[in-house]
Amino acid sequence: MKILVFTGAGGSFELGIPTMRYMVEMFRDHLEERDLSPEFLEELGERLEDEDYDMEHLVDDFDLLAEAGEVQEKWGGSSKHGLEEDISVVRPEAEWFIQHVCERVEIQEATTLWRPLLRHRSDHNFVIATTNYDRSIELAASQQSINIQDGFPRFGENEGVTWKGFDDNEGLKLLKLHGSTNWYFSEENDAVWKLRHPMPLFGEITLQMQGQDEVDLQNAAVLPSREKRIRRPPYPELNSEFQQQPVTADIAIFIGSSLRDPNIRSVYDACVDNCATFLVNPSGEYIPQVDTEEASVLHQSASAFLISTLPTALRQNDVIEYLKSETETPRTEGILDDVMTATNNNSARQDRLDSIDRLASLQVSLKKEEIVPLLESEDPDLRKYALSLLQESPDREELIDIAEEIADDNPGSEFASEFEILKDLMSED
Amino acid sequence: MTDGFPPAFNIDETRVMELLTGDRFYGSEDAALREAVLNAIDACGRRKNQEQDYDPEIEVLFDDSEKTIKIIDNGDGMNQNDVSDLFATVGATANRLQDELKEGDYKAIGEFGIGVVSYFLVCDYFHVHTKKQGADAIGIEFTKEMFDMETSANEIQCEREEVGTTLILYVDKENHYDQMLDQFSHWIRDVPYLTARQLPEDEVIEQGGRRSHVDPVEIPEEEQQDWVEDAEIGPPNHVDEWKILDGSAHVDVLYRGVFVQSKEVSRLWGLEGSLHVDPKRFKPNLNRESFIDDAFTEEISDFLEQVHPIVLEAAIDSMKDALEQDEINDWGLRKWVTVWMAVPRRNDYSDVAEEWDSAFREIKTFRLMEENDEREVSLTEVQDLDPDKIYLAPSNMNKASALETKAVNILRARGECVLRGVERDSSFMRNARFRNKTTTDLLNQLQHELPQTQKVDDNLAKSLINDHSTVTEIYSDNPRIPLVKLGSDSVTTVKVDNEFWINIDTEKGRELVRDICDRNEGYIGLLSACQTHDPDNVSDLIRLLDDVRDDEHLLGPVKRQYLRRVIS
Repeated sequence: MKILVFTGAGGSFELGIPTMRYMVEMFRDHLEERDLSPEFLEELGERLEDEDYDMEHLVDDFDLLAEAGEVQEKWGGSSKHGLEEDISVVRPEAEWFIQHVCERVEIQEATTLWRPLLRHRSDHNFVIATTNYDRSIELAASQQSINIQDGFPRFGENEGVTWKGFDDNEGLKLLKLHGSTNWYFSEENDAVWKLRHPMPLFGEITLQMQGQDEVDLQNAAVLPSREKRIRRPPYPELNSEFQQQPVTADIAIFIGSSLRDPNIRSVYDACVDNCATFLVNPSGEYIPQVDTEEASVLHQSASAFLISTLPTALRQNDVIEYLKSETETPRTEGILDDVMTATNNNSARQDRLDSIDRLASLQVSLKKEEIVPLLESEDPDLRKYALSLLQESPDREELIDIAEEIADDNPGSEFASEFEILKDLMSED
Repeated sequence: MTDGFPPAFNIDETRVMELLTGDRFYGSEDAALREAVLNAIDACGRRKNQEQDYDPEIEVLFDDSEKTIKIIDNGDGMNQNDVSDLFATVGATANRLQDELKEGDYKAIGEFGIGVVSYFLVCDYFHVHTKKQGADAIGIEFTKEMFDMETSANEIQCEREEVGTTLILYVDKENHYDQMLDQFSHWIRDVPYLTARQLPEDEVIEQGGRRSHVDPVEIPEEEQQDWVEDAEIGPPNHVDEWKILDGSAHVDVLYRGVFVQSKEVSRLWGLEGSLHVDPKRFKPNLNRESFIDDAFTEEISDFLEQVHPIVLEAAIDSMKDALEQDEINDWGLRKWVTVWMAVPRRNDYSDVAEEWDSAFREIKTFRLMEENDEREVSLTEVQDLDPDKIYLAPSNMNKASALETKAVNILRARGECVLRGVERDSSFMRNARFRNKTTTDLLNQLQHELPQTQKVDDNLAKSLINDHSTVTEIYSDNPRIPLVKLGSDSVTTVKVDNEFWINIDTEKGRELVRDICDRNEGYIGLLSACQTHDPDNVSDLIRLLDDVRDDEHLLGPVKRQYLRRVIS
């Protein structure tokens, strides 16, 4: 099946990437360390009284004010609007801030979140689209040595590569619709670069790569100057790819997105008309412009959906039917932390037990790679608790064999007793 | 004096004097008095046999100033031959006494009717004035000197002209005289034609009379004995007499109205009165402890046992009267219950037992233990309940074992018929024989009219508690905490040996399990949950957990899932 998975800000929230709204508040706090005029800070404060005002709006305003100044000068008017100096400082600071925050993704967490889906890349044809700037998907794929088509060639020996675009090859495709923290735009030759090791940009940098000429790079993450940059490569191609998806997709899933962006929403509307469409959001609430009648709404956190629900669905004969049945099963709590804690030997024992408890109660599906280390733990309680994860695992049969061996080696133990209970429960089910 | 008359003793003086002096004989004054009166009775009896229109009379006069005791009868009197026989009897008696003393047997000394010998216990000399029909009147003085075998009795002027005998005892010591006076009414109970007076005041001395407060029963002919001249025996006829029952029969044995001995036969409770025995059959011996030989004692006991059922049957009316007059209140239910439980249940008492059961049928002698209450009930009310089975709880629940208590609670909660009996009063009727301790014990003997009864003991308790469905267990270690099904109207938890059972048929039991799963804090969590949902029994759990040191008893998610499913 061809499956379109779109992930918005909610898809990275559990990785520690704040929403744009929260980011602008963080940025405002960050700006207090700078020597800015009280008028500017006062204006900023007033903007923030609007709950919908976020980081992207802030940068957008800055760009518009800069443009207004240019136009004003052309017409002979003063371009001084009193805040030029502050904006000239804050605008690049904002870009840097966004990149800095988005680069805080922990590779292990990103892997835990995206690996379950990536494992099924051979079973289905996936297209993952996102407006997020972070590299969580790329990091997860890289961790699993999975190749993703993101429009750039593989690095090979290079520290940087330039945009080449998509071909028609099947395979896992990643559409970063608004750019990425490791994409850089070169004004000189209109190229878009992707660097192996992203560097923070503050203003412009000059990058000298071995065997190549010097390149002046700017961050290519799409910031609110969409009107300006959305028409510049690689965004048109990205957008075009995205717009085509509803035509060929069998399933479309929109995770953690409010769909306020009209471009995204238009694709959503097209998907609703052409294929099985699913909205994944803990609250299940959308703006009025989003028609949810024809879609199936799953009240789930991104982690619960990506780690447990979707992988389980992908193993079913009827993926769509299974996903529809999950609309009855709210799983609004995030499970990423619990999965990380349960599988981390360095976590506190009781924390691990509590995490396993929660994962079991949420009927989270984990692979044997996550469960076997727990079954074979030296801690008898961890072993006992791990039994609760067998029922939902796709590797259930294999795990039962392993557990049987452990029970036989420890007759009369609480593990053996609970294993017997598990077998009874599973046979009843 | 004619040849051979008055006679002399031909006995060993020394030995006889030894017998007659000192303290070897207890109640020597009693023996003399009884002997004197009995001789007078015998004399009257003999004359009665000879003359149809004869009215016997005996008069006893105690003279304080002279310290004499006169026994005057209008019996057949004695002639010279009779007097000689009397002496011969004395001689034979004295010789026998000697022989018995050689064997060191002080008990069986003498024979009642030794007459003269006993008189010398209280006086140094005595006079006999006697006149027999067709014979001369005789006056004889008997002295202790006669024991020297040389001194003869002295003839004295006979004071009598009428047929009969006057015996005058010249009491040697004042204390002998006082004793005989004091004991007169004790020994002389019911001689119809005997009068006694005390001089010089001429005050009448009353005889002791027969045992009062007795309703004599009629003894069927087949039960009668030839040696019983008259039996005035029966149950007490007043509740005050019932109050002092000690479980033994108390019967006075009388010889022609003279008290011989009080006979006590244990276990024959409620039997009181007097037995007048035939002197021909009765030959009481004078001894320290008793006045009757052992063989005869046994015969009296056998007779009383034989008539006891008749007496008990008659006792029912007496008891019913007391109940109707509401005299039971100040006595207390337990004493009446004790009386009921003392009724023997052997075949010869079967009719009596049935009558007693009938009388107690309406009295509330049981306690019905209902779920939250306890009330007194009668046997009739128990039968009206028409239970399939009656469970007999310990009468004193304070002394019941923990298992018994739990079993009783379970049974009560299930609405079973649980009875607690009234215990008999152990300080009352101690000599009676009891097969049962409480009224519920008695139910075992009323099986024919009751449903099956079963005693609540530890064995029943265990089987009752074991007669359940064990679903699973929370913890299998010490202590084991199983989930059981004991019924929705039963206890929430119960401690059984070293286990703490949770009854999941009750809502509280299920809540307790739910809480244990939610807390999942091992035995500490169990304790907290029990404190919340079944505080009455948390002390039992605490005792069980006393030795628990290592509380690594976390329940895995699978176990908790299973437990929640079990209680859902």
